[in-house]
Amino acid sequence: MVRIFLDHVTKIFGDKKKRVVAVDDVTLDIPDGAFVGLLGPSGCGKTTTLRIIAGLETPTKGRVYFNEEDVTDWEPRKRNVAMVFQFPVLYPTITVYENIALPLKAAKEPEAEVRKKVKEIAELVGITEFLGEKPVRLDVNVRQKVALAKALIRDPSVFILDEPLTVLDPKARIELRTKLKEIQLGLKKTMIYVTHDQTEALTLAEKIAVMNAGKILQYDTPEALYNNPANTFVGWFIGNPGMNLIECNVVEENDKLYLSTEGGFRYDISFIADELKKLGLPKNVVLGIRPEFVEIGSGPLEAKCVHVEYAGNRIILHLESYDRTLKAKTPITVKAKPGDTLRIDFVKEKIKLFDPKTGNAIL
Amino acid sequence: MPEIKVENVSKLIEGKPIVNNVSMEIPDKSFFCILGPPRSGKTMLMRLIAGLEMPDKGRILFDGEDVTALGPVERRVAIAFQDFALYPHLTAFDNIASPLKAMKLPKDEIRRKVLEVARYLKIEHRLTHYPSELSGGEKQRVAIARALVKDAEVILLDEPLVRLDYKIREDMRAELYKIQKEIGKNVILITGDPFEAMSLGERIAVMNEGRIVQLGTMEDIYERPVNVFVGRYFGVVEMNIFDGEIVKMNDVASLRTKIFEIPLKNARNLPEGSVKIGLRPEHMSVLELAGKREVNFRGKIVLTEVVGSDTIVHIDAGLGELLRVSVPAIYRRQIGEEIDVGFDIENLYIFSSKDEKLLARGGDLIG
Repeated sequence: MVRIFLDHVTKIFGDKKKRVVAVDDVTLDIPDGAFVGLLGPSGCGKTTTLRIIAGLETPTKGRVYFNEEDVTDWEPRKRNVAMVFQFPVLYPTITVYENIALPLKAAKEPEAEVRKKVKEIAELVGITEFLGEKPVRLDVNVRQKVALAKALIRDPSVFILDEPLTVLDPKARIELRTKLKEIQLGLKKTMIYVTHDQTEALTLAEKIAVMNAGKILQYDTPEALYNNPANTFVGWFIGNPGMNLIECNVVEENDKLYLSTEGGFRYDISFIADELKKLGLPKNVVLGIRPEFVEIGSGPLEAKCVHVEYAGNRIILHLESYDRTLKAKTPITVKAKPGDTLRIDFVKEKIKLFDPKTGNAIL
Repeated sequence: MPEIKVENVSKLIEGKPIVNNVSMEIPDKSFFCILGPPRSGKTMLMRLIAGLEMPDKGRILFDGEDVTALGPVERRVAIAFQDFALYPHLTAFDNIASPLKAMKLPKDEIRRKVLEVARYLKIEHRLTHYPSELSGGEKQRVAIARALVKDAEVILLDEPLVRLDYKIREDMRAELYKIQKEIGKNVILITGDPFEAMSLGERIAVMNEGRIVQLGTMEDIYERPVNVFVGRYFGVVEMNIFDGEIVKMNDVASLRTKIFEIPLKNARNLPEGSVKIGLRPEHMSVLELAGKREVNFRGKIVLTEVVGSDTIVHIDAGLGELLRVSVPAIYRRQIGEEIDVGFDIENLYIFSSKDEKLLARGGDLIG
């Protein structure tokens, strides 16, 4: 039962000549029993953050708390954190049973107790039939389940999962995702799941911290990340494809408010004029609109279709609208081919505006 | 600028056919795609077209001329491999110039050729930069410029995007397509990603076990996959396949499964007995989101898998196999909850349970 709190944690690697700020002033509150995702592209600092939580790295600045306890200087062992990595770490020459039992034997638990626990965990993870086998004879899907069982048996306070499903085949991945979710719901353990894959994070975690360049850009539910991205990066990173981001000027004309560009892109946003004026009416904004909220058929904008990507019963249209490019994701019943000129509109309530300098959401 | 013809080509390795009696035509100036799972023979087929390997049987024609015995240079074929393999210590200019330097061309001719191809690919302003300073799309253009600079007429792309982050791939796909349209040459893409083939290939050859199992446009293959393998493989989310039975009694035919039964009007051509039923996840819907469909039933949620802007709902409906249902939104539900799902009959596929070949589409059977 652990609540984890990172208080202004920074980690700098290297020396005076070459400094790399891997984690940049990160504050993160992970409630007891929560399933939290750390999501970001490679090099974003998510793995370093995780290593700091596990005690494998010491932060340059900031503190790490488990409940009320400052654990910043604690060794990994004392923190009682279990980790599962991308590639399963097992002893190849002893059986699955012995692999799983190892942490208990090291703690000198009575034999009967060990047997009972291994049996329970093996059932939970679904590997009972493999207990007598040696890992070398098993495929990676089963080996990763064994690694998970080995982590579970120690009854740790925190689980850290570092992209454990990437090497599995699709069927096993679905199976283990379900298993992980069930285990977490059943055991109510604090779980931290690190991944670059939005699907893994959005599927498993209740809350996700999206990281880029060492910083946490947003810490929210999957729905909030999708509907209300805090900045342009999150808008782009979440979604399939990501949010369209279109730099525009804000122009007032005849009591109306428009988003416009030099090339003739012009979109009436009078319906949010009051809110924007309250914010001091910025001169430039980035218009954010998800491809699934770009409507084809009628509307104030003209767009040329340059490419059509098929995605099952939907299509992704690559559009050139005046001097801007954007994508639209629509049902396949919308007939469009490269070279066609289309009329487009945006679903008004789905329009987001961002500050072009900071990338932060303003509306 | 050739039209490429592959005629009854086979290639054996240690007696085993890696490419097995393949015939196909690739139209001139098109974006053609060879799609297949690992070890399907797609890379070998590419190497045969490139002239890196000699077939054991059959021949390859470029514009009617037999090129089977010629190498890549004589065929005027260039290959860009995975990652585009640029030299990190060389500028974009030197990367593009490297094959010409190897050919020991005079300096000013190299310069002229590199500038020409760079202008063509709109990267002349980036020539002094190193690969690490270039965007993904620019790197791609540099690699293709390097392939083109040797006067290649056919460009083979060997899984160029496979090792890139999927977020980068989103934009690179469209970029590849744009480049092919700009340069107007024959581009052949080899890929293991059905989505990439769907979004890029004008014509697609689907390979499995050394053979081309289906060749056609994206629409052809998606609408009428020739067998269970293509049905499962060629889609955004894998097609659901489950067992069913055609029952005929007194001129009345129906399709029966463990959980539903559908009357069929035009089942004359279908044999009685067991069949495999295919249903694409995107042709199914969750009733509370999309309303009732022609066939509706209930299932228990195994997992709601959120794929960016979409969700794949995995359910157990008692069919023996789990079913996947695509939802075009973020839709999260608890494991074990029950939900109602449905589909329309026209979207069914009926495959033979013997050889797994397509027998009919739902639309043919009720019309």
